[in-house]
Amino acid sequence: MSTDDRKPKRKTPQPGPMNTITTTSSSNQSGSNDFVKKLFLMLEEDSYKDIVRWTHTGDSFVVLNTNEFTKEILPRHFKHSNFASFVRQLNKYDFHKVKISNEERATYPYGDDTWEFKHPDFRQNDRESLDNIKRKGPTSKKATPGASSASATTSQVINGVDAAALARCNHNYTQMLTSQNQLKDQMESLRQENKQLQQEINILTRKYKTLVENIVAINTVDERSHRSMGILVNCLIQAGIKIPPLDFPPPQSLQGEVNNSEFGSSLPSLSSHLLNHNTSPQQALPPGAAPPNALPQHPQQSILPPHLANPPPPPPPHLQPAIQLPQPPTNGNQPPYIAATPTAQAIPSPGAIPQMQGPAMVPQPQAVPQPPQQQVPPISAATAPNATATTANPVAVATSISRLASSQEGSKSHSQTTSTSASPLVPGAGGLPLAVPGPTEVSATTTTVPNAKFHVLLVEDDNVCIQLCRKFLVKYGCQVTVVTDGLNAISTVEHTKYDLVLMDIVMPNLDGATATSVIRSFDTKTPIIAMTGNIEDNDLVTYLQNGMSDILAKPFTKDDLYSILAKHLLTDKSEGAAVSTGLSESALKGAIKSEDDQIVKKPRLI
Amino acid sequence: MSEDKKKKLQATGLVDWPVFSEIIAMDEDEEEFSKSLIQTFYTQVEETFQKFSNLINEKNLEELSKAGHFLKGSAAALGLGTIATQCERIQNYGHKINFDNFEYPATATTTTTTSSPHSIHTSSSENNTNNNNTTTTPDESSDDFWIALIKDALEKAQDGYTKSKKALTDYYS
Repeated sequence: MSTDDRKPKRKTPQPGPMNTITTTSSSNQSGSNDFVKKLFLMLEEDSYKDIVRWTHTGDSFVVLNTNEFTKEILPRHFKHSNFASFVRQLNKYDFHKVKISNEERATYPYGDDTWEFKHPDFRQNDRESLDNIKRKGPTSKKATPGASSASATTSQVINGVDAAALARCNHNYTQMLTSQNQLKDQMESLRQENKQLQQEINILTRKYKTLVENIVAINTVDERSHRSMGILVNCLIQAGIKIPPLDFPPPQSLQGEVNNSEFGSSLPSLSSHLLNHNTSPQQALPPGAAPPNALPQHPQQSILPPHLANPPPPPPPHLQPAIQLPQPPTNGNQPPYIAATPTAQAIPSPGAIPQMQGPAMVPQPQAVPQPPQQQVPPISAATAPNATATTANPVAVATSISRLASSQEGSKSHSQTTSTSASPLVPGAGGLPLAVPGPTEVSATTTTVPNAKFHVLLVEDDNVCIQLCRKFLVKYGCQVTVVTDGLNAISTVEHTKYDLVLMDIVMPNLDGATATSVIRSFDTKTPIIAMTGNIEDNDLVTYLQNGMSDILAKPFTKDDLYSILAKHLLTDKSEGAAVSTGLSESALKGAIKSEDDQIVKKPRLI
Repeated sequence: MSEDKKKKLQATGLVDWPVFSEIIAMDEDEEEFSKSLIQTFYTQVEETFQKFSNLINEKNLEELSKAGHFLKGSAAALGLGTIATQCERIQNYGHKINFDNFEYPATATTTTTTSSPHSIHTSSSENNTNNNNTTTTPDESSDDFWIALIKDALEKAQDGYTKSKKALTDYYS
């Protein structure tokens, strides 16, 4: 009994707390969606119609003045004055804000800053449907079935269950947060790693490029020293000096030892001759000098004086790119000579040695009053100590001049003088009997064509393609030089001005794309055409980024090739014409051309 | 060269005539230009085939691809499409790209008479039916799969070469 008695007792006081729960927290039992009911009542109030009211259709309501609504009505009906929580409540009961598009807005009767809300069961004069409006979300499921029997205990249970669920949710949430953070960290570290790798790749690429450039430069220098050495040996033979049989070493080991041992004894006498030349060249002309060498003296005599009188002209700005490349090794190679010749002035005898190494590299203090600059030497070598140069190493001079002159195309008259003075030397060079193979001889072959209109460099490693392509080119009227890898392509282009370069991509030693990008660092004009079987979009973009002027897809027909030739050789010509300023320029160009042809072919003999 | 021989060579379908005729047109100002070119090619092919065999033994896919690319270039330049096609296959298989969706040959493929794409597919479908009954085929993840495809391409290339060489020898005789 006592228990029976207690139960109703317990029950009776309950409605109080329970009601507070339902009213304050607008609890979610099916019948007690008080919030909705209160909302409905609020809308019945006629005095609010300027602030909040049903719309005309009666299936939605609109808050006309949110300020007034928040300040006046919300506290009265919902015991708070927070519009945002009012909207939140609406959303919980599945009310939706009615979106008004911009077009509709123009004819919308309730003004701009209004909020219209809608629920399918929330209609004017339809109190019954209100019961269908339920609170959304998981908590609504926890509602105890019988509202009448609801008690503090049950509501506590509900709260307990809620709390447990909440705790679980919280737990899951924190777990998710941690894993999310971990992922974020991982992503961040990956990103950084990626960045580092990217940087490393960039550095490596830069280093690789520099290395390639240096290798090319070293090759160039080696080749030149080797050639000069040959010329010197030749001169000595011609001068009647007996030279022991030479085991001419490969270019790498050539410097230094050859100089000091084999040549050491014979040099002083020769260079004293050479020094005399500076003052009175004709008298001191060595009797043993080869006739071809002697001949060019005359044109030179007439031309040189102005140069000697004037301080050497400042190097034209575009000279720099041409010389830029071989410089680092130049510096590296010079020391042995400098050690042998502390100053050219103080010890006259070894004066010829620097000449031999290549006039482009060694400053001539006598001739150059300015502090020696890297760019000055070629000019001084070509002008002031010319007598020395002509006898000692005509080809080296010619080479350096051609380099100089070709880089000076379109510059002032002095370059013309030098080149005209230099060009007669070349036959002499060709006539020299000495046969020391040049380093690039093996790799480059030139097909000469009488009256060649253009000079084309073909860079290709496939014999069949070489033969075929060369045939087509020759038929087109081109003189063709062939090299078979990227490294040789760079050094060859560096030496000689070509009208066009045909560049294969896949090659041993250095691929065509890289070679092109290196060439572009000192020559931006010569058209370089990529010949490739890979004509996917990505590749094409890469090629063009590397500085290729155009792309010729392999295999190509004669007409394909010719149309590319026509396109680039013509534009090249017209550009050249536009750049050149006078008649002398074309003459100069011709001179250079004939010279270059010689250089490409003849040095192979030396 | 007589027109008859030209026609006969054309009829073999082994050479891409527009390309090849351009090359023999070059003989006009240099006798035997095309012939020497072809000779150069023969040398190259034989060297490269040897290289292929060695590389197949080494299973060096990367180098196989390079060699395939190389020979493809010269073969295509001469208009010898049958060889070029197979070389292109080798180039792609070497990079593990089954660009022609070639099926793994179950048995050592008896070389088919022609190596046009059509015949590849007929032969491969036959192989496929055999496959179901026999041993499991290596899948694309193993190098052996690609080596097998390359072997197939090489056999077809060799076959194409033999035929092309014969046709060309007839032409130049």
